[in-house]
Amino acid sequence: QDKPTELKLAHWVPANHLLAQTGFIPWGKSIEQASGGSIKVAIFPAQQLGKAPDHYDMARDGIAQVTFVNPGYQAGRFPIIAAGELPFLVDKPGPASKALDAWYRQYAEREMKDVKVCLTHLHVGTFHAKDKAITDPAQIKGMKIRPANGTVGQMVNVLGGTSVQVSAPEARDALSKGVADAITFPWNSISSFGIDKVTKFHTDMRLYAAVFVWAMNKDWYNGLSANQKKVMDDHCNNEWAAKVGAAWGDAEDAGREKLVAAGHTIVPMTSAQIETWRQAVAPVYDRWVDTAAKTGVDARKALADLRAELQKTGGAY
Amino acid sequence: MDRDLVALLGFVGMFVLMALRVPIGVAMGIVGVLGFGVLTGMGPALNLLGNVPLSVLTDYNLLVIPMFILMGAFASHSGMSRELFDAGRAWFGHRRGGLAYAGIAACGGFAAINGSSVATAATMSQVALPEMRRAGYEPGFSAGLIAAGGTLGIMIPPSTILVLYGIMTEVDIAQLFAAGLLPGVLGVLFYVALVQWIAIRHPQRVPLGEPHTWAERFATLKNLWAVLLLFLFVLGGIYGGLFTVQEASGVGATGTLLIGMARGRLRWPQIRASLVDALRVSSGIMMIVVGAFLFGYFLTITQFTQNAVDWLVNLPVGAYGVLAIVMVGYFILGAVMDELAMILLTVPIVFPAMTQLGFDPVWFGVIVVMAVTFGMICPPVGMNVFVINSIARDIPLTRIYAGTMPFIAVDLVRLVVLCAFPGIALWLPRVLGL
Amino acid sequence: MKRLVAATETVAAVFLLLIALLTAANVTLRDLFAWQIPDWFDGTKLLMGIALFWGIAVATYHGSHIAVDIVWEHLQRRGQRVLDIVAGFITLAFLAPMAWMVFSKVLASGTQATTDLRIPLMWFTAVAACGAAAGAWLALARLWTLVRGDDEADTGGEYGATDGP
Ligand code: NA
Ligand code: NA
Repeated sequence: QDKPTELKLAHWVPANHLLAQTGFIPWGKSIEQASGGSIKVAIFPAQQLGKAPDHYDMARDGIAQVTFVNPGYQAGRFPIIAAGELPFLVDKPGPASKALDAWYRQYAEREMKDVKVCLTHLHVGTFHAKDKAITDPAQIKGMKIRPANGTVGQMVNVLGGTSVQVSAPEARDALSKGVADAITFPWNSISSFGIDKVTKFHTDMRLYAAVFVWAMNKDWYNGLSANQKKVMDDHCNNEWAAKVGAAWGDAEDAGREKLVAAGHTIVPMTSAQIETWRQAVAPVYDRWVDTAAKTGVDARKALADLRAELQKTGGAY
Repeated sequence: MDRDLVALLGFVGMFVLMALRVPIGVAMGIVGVLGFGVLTGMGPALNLLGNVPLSVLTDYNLLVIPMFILMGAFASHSGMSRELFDAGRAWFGHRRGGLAYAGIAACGGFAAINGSSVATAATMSQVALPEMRRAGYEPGFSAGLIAAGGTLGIMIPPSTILVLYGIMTEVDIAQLFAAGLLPGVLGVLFYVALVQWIAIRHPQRVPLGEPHTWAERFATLKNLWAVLLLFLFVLGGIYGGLFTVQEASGVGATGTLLIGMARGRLRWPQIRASLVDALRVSSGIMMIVVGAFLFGYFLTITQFTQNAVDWLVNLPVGAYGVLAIVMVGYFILGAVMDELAMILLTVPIVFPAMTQLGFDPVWFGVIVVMAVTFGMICPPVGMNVFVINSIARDIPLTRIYAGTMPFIAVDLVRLVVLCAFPGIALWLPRVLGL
Repeated sequence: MKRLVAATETVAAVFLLLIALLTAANVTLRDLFAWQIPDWFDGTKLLMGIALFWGIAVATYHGSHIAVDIVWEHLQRRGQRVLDIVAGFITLAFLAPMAWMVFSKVLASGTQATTDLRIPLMWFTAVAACGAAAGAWLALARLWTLVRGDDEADTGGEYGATDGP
């Protein structure tokens, strides 16, 4: 008989968030079932156990057993996984999450060595602007943009814009008052945060991705029975990464249709235009290679590997 | 150990330590860490003790606390508080209770350029209180008036309590600020009405003052440009999209500094004094914030928080019944506990319950400020009263508390009015299109 | 000792001035010239952390933290002293492990850096952590003066006059 144990799962999105409904809650239920109830899952949403940027440390320190981490919240701490955030790299969130997860497993041990990385996934976002659709990189010069993460912030700076730092709930307000002119966000969050009231112009392209890691406390995992370990291994695999990535990411992408229905201006991009963008953001890639190389990995090869993996799963943009 | 029992012991331990005069932040923090340790092991608990201070004291959202306090310190050291009081005296001084009106007006005006109740009370007990006593006002009444007037500091924007509430609940802070303005003005009017009533019933308590000429009156108004400019600039900048609420606090502090320097009133000694004052006040507050977060995480893992929310929502007394119970609870807690700690610990429990019961989140922010207001002037532990007592040492605590009683009574009326007419709070945010 | 603490307090207080000026300058540059000071966001947060850690340390030395006097004020001088020593000891028992843990967090923050200029975060957080350590030392110093019965130790009162929200 396995010793009963509690898995505290801490995250920072609201309790009824899409990711909670399609990810955390079913994942927890499935673990309870597979373990025959010997692993009891208690979910702590909405930063109840700590601030969003602290979630990596919280898993490491055993404050919770599994935590939801956005590595982009701690600039420079996880330079390798930041590859997943690079602009114009990924397309469909499901396949792209599958590729990112498979690719990152070989680096996780070195970059996130204080925890056991359970799974990795991403969602995709683009520009949403107040007054005019952003179609050309030259437009960014002089614009005030609320970036989704540090990599997007770098891109905005490279293109001559300024980044405005406000929390996601304050973003609507910042836009409506003109503190910011545009925001980078995934599609459905535009409606769920009420930002559809203040941004009417959307660029239909795969501008950036936000990457996420589910981190597990090592000591807790090592203390499990063989049986329980297997349950956790079965829930910390590439299949779950793809499943969670698809469930949340596709739901975000589906938000685009809501905006179409509401009569928003959604500007499609030609492949020539995307090529212009790719060239304009090339310095962001160079910077990633420089930073990642400092950790001792062959950064160019790592990037090529990630691209190859994305091609394989069909998640490349 | 049973989790509910641990939570209960945690509360008891916290109150015992507080009674031993352990700093409030330390009392909450040490119980939080030990309680967390009992339930999860000491390793994680100690790590919590490392994480929380670092992440709380570097939280950009909390920037408003030191900065709006610094703004008030600059304003006070450059004489703006005195100008407000002098203007009030010139215009109302000739009437019976004139200096009382002037004191209320000055509290309301100073509230518009700082975010703290205690700072407003402290400033005005240095400016208005000595003048009132010299003119023959009963000391307890005068101190009670300043204590109550001080609470306007957190109702009239900018307000640190509304900012904290906004951060905890993700309610838009600009909306909260707009919602606080009219209830704050209503507070001024209610206090004025109270003084008027006293002037009729007990004329001996509020003496007549000296009349001022119209020339003198308008001369005092000329000095108020700085206060008005700062208030309009800070709020106008927030609503006009020049800066965020967090930035507004830093910009407001800088603006107050520049005006003070331009008028030749802030030189290095005054600037240094303002900075040190602001650092002392904000360090005191932030120590409590750190402790409250530690205690809060402990409560979270006992699942006390969730159970308490469920219990509140399912009470068979209707939404307004629950609201009444919550307010009585706040009244009791506020009497014996520090108000900031009270808010940090209770809002995560009360807010979800209130919104589930259908109350407006912005309106409830104003109600929470009212709850804090009672606590700050209510015996035995009323922070505003302590502050005034520490400045005017010869007025005994009991006398000040006696002086606050009539003001508590009119605040109760104001609370009932705000519950009956939520529009008083919600009208301005709506008009501003927030 | 007192002069050293006072000087420290002034330096920490000047950080508040730097925050205010940095914020105002950044907003002005952004609104007028669409340009921002690199790392204004991280810089503001880190300066605030440094000022507050050191501010808390100084408040500990002066015994001016917000506390409830309700029992204390009804005691005789002797009882007050006993209570002060007990409270001082508990404060030390909190601040010492806190300083230790804050330090180990800071040392474990690795390659973490500021967003724009990628300046190692540790340069700033280490200064803040020194404030936490100073807080523990000053708690010890205060406890020591209380135990020895010197009148040098403040008992709060006037100093903390304007503490509170
Ligand atoms: Na105010
Ligand atoms: Na009270």
